[in-house]
Amino acid sequence: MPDTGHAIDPDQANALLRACHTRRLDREGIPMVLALVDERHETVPSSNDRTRADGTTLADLLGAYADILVPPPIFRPDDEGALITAMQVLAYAHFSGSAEPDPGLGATELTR
Amino acid sequence: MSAPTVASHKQAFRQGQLIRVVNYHSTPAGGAAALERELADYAQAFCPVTLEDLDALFETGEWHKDRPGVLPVFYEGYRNSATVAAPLCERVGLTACFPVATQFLSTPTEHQEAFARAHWIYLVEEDLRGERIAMTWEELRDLSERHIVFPHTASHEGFDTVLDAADLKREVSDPKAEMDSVTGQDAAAFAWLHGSPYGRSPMHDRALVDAGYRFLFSNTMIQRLPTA
Repeated sequence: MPDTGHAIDPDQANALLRACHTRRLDREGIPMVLALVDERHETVPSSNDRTRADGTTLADLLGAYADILVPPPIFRPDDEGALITAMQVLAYAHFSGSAEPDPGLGATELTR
Repeated sequence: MSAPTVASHKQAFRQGQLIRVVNYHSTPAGGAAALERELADYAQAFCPVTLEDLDALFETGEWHKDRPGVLPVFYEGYRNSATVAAPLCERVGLTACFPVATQFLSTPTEHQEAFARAHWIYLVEEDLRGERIAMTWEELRDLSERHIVFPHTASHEGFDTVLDAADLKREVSDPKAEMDSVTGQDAAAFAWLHGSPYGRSPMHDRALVDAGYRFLFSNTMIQRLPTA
């Protein structure tokens, strides 16, 4: 089961996957939420509750979308393309950090 | 070495180690109004991210502004990155990143379309008027005074086509030296074509570190690189 308290409908996840790939990517911005990784030493966690809460929501949603769209063992854990696919959907639908899809995503896209 | 996986990204996100970026390529003037609306929305919801912010974030682990940060990233070195995107970012109060294929800027105007088509640089209709497609080095220098500029290799190459020391010099270290000589700054970051991360190839990783880059922008991460 996805580890988010906000259940994600697989049909909606697949609709978001299609929607975020059918935009004019040659002209439009492609939102992504990137991890910050320090290759010098172990990454320092933030002590800010709000920052960690934002990250926890996004982590749960990433896990949920990955479970639905690119589940193991169909996709290898080290399949970077699979990770990117889940992250694209995450950022397309939840760039604001909200557990609900961001307003402005057309209802027609989600039901297409 | 950090292998990018769902698990590693979930862990980083839970630790608050994340940043929002929006990746762009050609931004033709005909789409300026839509781009301005999009950037204005981002500026309202998020805070700008400067290079100093990025350094501080890695040194302290803390984001110090009242809203999360967002970084628009305009790839390749298109002329319209300088003439359309940058002024719009400035109008709405955002700092942007401009990773440029340095050889694109040095290619004569009459050969820029061929350069783009030979090197995975996508063109839109407005790019095809027979005029300059790439920004000039002077435009890049001006951008560097207000934004973050860095090499995206010389010829828009992926690490899988950069095979030996000569290739690494041409695509990794020379672009930084050339850019720094123009801007008078120290280009802090690098990005491979196709967004490959640090940790795939010791030879390529070493070249990035030896060239003096601090950050690598990849598909799923911004990595703070070791020092030489």
